[in-house]
Amino acid sequence: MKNFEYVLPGSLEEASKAAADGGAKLKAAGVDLLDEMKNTVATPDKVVNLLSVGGMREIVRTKDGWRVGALVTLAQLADSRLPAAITAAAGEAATPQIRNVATVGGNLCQRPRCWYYRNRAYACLRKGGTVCYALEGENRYHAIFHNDACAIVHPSNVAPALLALGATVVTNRRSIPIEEFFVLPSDHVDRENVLEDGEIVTEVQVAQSRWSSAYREERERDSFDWATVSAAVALRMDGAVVKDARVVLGAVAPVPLRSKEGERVLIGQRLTEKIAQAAGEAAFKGATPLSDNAYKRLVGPANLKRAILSAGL
Amino acid sequence: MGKIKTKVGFRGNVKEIEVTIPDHEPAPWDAETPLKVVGTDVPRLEASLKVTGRAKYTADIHLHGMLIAKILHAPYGAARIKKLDVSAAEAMPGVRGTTVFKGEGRPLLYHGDEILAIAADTEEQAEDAVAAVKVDYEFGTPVTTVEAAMKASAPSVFEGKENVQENKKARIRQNDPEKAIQEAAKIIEATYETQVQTHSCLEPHGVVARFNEDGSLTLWASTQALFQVRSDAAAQAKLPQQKVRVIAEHVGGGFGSKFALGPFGIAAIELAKKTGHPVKCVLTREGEHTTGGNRPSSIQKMRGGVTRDGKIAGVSVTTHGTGGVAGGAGCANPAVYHFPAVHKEEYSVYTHAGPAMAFRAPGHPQGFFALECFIDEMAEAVGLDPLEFRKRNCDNELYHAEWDLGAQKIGWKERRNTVAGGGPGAVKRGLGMASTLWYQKGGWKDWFGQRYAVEIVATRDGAVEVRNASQDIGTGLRTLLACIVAEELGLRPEEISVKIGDTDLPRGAPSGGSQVSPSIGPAARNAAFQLKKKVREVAGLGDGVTWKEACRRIEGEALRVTGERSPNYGEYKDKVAGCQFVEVEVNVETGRIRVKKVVAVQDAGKVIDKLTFESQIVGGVTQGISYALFENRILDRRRATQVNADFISYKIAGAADVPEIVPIAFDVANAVNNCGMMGLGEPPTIPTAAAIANAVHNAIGVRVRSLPMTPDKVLTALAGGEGRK
Repeated sequence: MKNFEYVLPGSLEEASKAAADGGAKLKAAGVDLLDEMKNTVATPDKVVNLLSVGGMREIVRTKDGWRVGALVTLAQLADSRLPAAITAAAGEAATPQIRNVATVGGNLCQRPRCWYYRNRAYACLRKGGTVCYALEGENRYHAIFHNDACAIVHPSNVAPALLALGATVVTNRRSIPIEEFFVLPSDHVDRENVLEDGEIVTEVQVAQSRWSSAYREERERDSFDWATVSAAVALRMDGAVVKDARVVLGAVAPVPLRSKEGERVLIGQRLTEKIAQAAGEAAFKGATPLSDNAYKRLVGPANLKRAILSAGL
Repeated sequence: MGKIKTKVGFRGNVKEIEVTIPDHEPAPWDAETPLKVVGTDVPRLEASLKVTGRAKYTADIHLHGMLIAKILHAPYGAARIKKLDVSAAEAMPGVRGTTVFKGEGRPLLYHGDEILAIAADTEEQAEDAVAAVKVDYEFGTPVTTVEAAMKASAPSVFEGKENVQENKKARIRQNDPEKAIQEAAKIIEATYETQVQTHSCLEPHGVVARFNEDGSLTLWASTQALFQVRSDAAAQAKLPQQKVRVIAEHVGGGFGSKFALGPFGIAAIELAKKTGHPVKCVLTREGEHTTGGNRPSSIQKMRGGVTRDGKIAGVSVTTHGTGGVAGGAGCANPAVYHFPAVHKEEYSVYTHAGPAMAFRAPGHPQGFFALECFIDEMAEAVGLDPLEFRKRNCDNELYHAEWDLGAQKIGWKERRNTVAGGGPGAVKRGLGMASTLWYQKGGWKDWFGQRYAVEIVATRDGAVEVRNASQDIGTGLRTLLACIVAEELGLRPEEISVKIGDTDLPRGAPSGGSQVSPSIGPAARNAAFQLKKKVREVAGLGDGVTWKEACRRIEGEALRVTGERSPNYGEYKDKVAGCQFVEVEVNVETGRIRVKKVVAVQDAGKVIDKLTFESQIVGGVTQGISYALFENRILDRRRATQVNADFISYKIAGAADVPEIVPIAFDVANAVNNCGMMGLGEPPTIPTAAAIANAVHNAIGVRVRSLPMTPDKVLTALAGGEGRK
């Protein structure tokens, strides 16, 4: 492992300053960063440990919603009274051991799990190379949307749920609607979000609403596994009729993917299994599967249907 | 030698046979021998050491002045080393020595192929040094699948050698199979596929090598064959075998992958020689997956005929499989049932992947996946219940008894769908079954021709120590030997201490073919039998004199007795049977299969310790579920890199994936040796995948003929495809 300077900042300002140059990496629990460093995919000159900054570890109830500190653990979030999609997404992630240390900020900012990205022997597009090896290689767990340049899927469980509920990501510099937080490879192939050097996620704000929500994921294994498809759905119901809907797909694109196609099918309709099914199919209609991941196009609608039904019924 | 009569068989089916037992041996424990210890629940002697982390495995060995060696593995297959520069690596802090396996110009056939090893003061320094080696690779075109390697245009993995090699010894032609099939009432054809599974032992392969001041060599090795490692190490170090000692106190799994010294052992010896320090070399998980062994894949084309009354008329089987750069990709079928006419051809196909090694019942989980699914398909073709069909085609009463017991425990008659598939809701439930077999009766000598022996030392304080060199790769050998000796001496198992895992002890067996327990157990009983006689003679044991009192009368420090293993003599059955019944749930919308329950009936001669017996069954079933649903080595099609050489994307069943398992230890008196023991390690993992696949068919009405049965294959099968990838 490359030697690095270990910085224990006493404040956000110190942390931001220490992280301002390109060779620095921010660390919260370190679940993902240490993995990357062991694989030598990340070789920082400097590791800035956010845990030494006070605060950011609480979920604060405000009069119109919640402020979730960036260092709140997934276990805390899973046990909280936030909307159902968010607690379910946090509770499904990883393993109990990891959920007890992994943070909300870290979960949003973790790097992709793509096996070419994680392999030091492959200088892929995302690591400054010229090729996405997944496109014509092994891609069963890769993206079926926005996969023309780089086919990673965004690994966060929590992000689709936060997106479905219109959360806001707050940094030491600005507030960013979560809809604008993640970036596609066609815009930036070397990062997954809009954060600049020295910018630190400090909290996530979720507004209270009458929307009801649900999160569902499918994976190959019940023990520790990443989702092959996931879906977060928020619905504003009027009796049995869907007045408004936000449908987000996870594990199928380089970003958590809002599906307006799915939403359009639902809005204004009585929620039935048939309409949920139709929304599921509409959401996956535009998919462009690679050689080995067409099954996501089948599993995805079934999973989304279940998410829609459990959000609305 | 003396002829005796002994009762063999199982409860409700006991008969008397005559066997000739060797001189000075006790009569075999038979169906009616009253036993106090044998057959009861005895907890593993070293259990507390293991669960508290005090058991020392090879990776835990730390010697004064010891260096750590790391291997540089090729990150790609089908490559060549254009340039190799170790100068920067050797100048790094802590680096003490390098040993090169493959230099410039040499081909690197597969991901993991060893290039060199570097020893340094610390593990981190060794890792950094290996990462600092500069290699320029030249890329060739890899073949990573059987299909690709069989194309006429495919590049040869070994220059000048065909990729496809027939295993000629496996060829069978009996009684005109084509005619038998053609004339049968129903003809069934199906192709089954199985994936490559890596051994994935919890403890990686590793060796610690130390040259002693007297010129001898001591190795600590994570191995399942101490004497093979000794022989390999002696050759490598150019020493006589007597100057090499190999120790393996505890081993965290082997499954067939730990028979040889291996490149890590060679590296440890060479670097120890070069540096004058003890050296430890343990594989990384990437090294484990890519070089530590695997179960070959298979494509099995089956064609069979069935008569109108549900009898198999004949079968034709052609199999292809890849063991990477190794051969031996066979499939163990047909078996168990009566096949009046058989055609069989087997081919091993070379690909750019790490070498296959023996893996828990080599050829069997793959062969039985095809065989037992095909049996179900034949039963369906003639409208028979799969259990009834099996009974009509097998006259072994042991199978019949075990099938009936398993069927009753799972509720076969009441709970199986009489019409496969159907029912409301997305989640369908089904039951399936499959059978197994194994061949191991234990042996009296190893492949070096050396006879197995057990020494027992009884000291004046009444302590008893049982000594044998065999390693225990997790089966519970210590506990079995303690049970056997305790039974013979009239003591409790916890009063016996057992010392194993050291070539300085009396000859032990390699852990292959499920042979250690049935080979060494009878030698232990012989030793105990003789010891008891001796204690009786010299110290008056019995007649109101207890063991402790008798031992106090021993002259000198201790009594030492050695018992040898004799050749097997009688038999009721030459194989073990066994069967598994499985309940699954399948979600037809998402393609997810969940195993809900497994009833596993297994015999292996006399049950010595019921707890370790059941533990073997549960372990075998768990590994079988993992093989059926999850595990799969995935190679990059362009560079032959295993992209999932970790435990994140190489998926193994975890706690949440393991259902209720009901192990049933089926006691059979077999009179093969004085303990009546047979081998158990392998058979319980053989039928699991097939039983699950048959249950899946019963649940959803379509067949998934390809392992692992992942959601994509289930959905493909439901959509009308073959369940192939």
